[in-house]
Amino acid sequence: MNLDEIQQIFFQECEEGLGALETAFADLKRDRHDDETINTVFRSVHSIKGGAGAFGHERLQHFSHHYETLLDLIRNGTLPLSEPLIDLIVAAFDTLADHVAAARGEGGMPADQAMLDRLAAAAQGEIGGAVAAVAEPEPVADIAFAAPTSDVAAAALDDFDALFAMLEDPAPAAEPAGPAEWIVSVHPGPRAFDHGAEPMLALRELSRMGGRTLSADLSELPQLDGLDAERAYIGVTMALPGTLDEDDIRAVFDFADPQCRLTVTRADPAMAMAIAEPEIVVEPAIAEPIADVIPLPVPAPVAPVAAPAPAPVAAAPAPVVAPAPAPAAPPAPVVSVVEAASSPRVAAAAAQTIRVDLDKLDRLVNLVGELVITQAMLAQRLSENEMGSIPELSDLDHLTRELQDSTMAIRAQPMKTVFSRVPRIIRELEVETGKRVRLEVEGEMTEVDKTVVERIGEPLTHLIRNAVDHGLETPADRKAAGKDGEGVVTLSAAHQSGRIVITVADDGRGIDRARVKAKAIERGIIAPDAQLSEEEIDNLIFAPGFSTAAVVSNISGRGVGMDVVRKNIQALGGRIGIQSELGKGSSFSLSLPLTLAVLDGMIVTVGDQTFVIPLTHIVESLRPGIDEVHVVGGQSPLLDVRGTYVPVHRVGEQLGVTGAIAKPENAVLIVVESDQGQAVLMVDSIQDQRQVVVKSLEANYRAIHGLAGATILGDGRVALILDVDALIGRWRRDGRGPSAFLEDMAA
Amino acid sequence: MLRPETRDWSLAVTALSLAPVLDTAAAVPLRQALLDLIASGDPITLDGSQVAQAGQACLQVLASAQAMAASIPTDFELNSPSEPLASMIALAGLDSLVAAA
Repeated sequence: MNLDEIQQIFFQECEEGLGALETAFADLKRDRHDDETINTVFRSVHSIKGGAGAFGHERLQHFSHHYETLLDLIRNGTLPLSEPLIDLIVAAFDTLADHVAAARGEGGMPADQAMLDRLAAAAQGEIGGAVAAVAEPEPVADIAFAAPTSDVAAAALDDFDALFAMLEDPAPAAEPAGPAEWIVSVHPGPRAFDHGAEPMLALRELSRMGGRTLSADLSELPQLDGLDAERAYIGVTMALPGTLDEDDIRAVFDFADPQCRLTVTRADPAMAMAIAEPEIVVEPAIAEPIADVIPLPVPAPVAPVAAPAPAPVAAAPAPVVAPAPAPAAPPAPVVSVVEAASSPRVAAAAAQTIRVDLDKLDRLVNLVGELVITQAMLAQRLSENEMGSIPELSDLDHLTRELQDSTMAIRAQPMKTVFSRVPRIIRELEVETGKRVRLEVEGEMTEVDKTVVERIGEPLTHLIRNAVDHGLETPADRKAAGKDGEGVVTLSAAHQSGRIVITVADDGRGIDRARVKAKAIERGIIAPDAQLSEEEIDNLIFAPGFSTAAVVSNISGRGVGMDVVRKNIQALGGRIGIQSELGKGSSFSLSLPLTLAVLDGMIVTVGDQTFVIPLTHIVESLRPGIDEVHVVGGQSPLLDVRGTYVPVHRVGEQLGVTGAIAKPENAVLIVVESDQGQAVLMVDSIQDQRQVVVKSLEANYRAIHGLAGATILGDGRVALILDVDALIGRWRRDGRGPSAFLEDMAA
Repeated sequence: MLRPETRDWSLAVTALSLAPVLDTAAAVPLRQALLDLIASGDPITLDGSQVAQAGQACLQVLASAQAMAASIPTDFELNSPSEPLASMIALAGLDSLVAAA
């Protein structure tokens, strides 16, 4: 792992942090927050700041520092959490997300000065142009926010850290007193240089925070002839301003090697006197114990802390130890020795999760897929030799399926990773449209395969934009219609029958079907005399080039969104359903497979070919009686399914397979549900029903319309997986038969 | 990693110009070059004026070489450290490296 890879981990953690922030903001906006909520926000921003410093993203660090400053004032109760303040910290979050994106090279550096000014003003109690009520307007605040009466105070107003010190310490601002300096001893682990890491960067960061080096610890440095040049030996002790937050100091080492020994202590009074500038009066230091005391023995005496001074060198014996001229105070009592590797928090986190390269995971998934195929082949071979019922085979089948499920579960991710991006989209849409939107999210922890998570983002964004731009009315229109001025967009995810169903619903105006139909006729999408059901009219909005928007905006209205949405969803093996009621709202439901790597299918025979029909489409299968199939006017036969006539598609005939059964009464009819409604597929026989491993035609051959992929059967033959929606849609649309299919195959 | 400016074994002083990049990868060859110099028994003079980047691995090699030279004893000087080198030396608390010059 090199430094770039470590940085990628930082960015992943940024993403997680930003996700946690979105969740916290949702709680804040719904007034469901408590002290821990704002603590969560603070910690997330703090972590981002720490990593940004470690990797040299100064602008990100700068912004997060000022953001964190405001959050800290809220956290400690100095600033009451008001609605304008929530709006500000949410707005600042967007800028923070932009900074993270810029640090990743995914966008330009955001212009953040205006936001920084707002954060600074809010930190002084000025929010929304008015001075907010500060929780404790005692003399502390007076001192902190009053016009500076001295140079020190003036400087302090530009330095939030100093400002905090003044808030914490009610002593007169003119006195340059404060908490005792921090004494930070850093001793990188032996492998600190591995993966291109450079411990000096952390020291440089401490230096930027106002730190100065006191001494080096060379006690472990061997003679040159015994030195391993790629191993770290020396440690450094630095003094940092006592006004800094200890967490800030520790955050610099968030990404240090796990064996780095870090000690952060307050200087004791003698130390403070020794290291202070002579003319500065230092108050008695605070020898406070630090919260996370871990009573580990100090592994080696920390090098004596001394004022920097020229040191005699030539006669220094090896191992070289920085000489320590008096008054070398003994090291401060070590009240907090934290080895990163021994931190309970870190250890717990490490025990719960492990980052695995996705390629390794995909390889595992592929291997399990091959195992499933091999298991099926073995079963078939044993079955041919009348050994198909041996218990070991059943056990192997069971274990293989468990292994497959477990492997797939590794790839599963909560929909939260997608949903967490939505609040920002909503906020931007609110600004662009002037509408007021409340987002309700349900089922965000519903898990789905990573591929689905990655590819659902774009269509979901389209649907959200569509819901706000087309679905919701303006606040005035809503009030005129007797609704709340604030529209509601509901985003939900749930598992249903082995699929995930994601719903985007709004309580807006609903689909005006008369208008949709008129528009479709105007654009030549349908004939003027076309008789369409409500469902068919709703589906017109997915037609390419369709848009009812009177004005093309940069949000939607170009008619390039919804057809792309449907294509993307179909590419994921999904379907879209629409429910809408005029004046009450619309709901778009995306039904997606949980994984794209395997599917439960029915293995059917048509002539000399074997096909797989995805089980999710199948409603029922039957052998029809002779009076259940009707042929009307020389068209395709119709099956009477409990009083409803459903068109029968002869799969053999329409796919150009020779030797298929021609008469429906001799065949097996499979009733399927497609996005065009119900249909019947006519096949010769059903062989089996089992889970099959999907092999991509795109990756191994090329995409073919009407086929969702291929699989390898137990006998080693390839079976094509039917794309039911695509086939029925095409057959219904243009009645293309076998020749067209063969043309596709040959093309 | 080391650029010999003069490598005349008849001279009493061996001057070496340190390479511009003294990162971790440079530490192994730097160590070997310094060991060779120390073995020669000549006073060691290093020129740090060209150094644009210095990491801890090379700094500790220099510190260790300085200590070893002192134990022989052989003179060890690091002259004209560039600003980046000087700041890293100060940051690492190795002021003695340049103070001896």
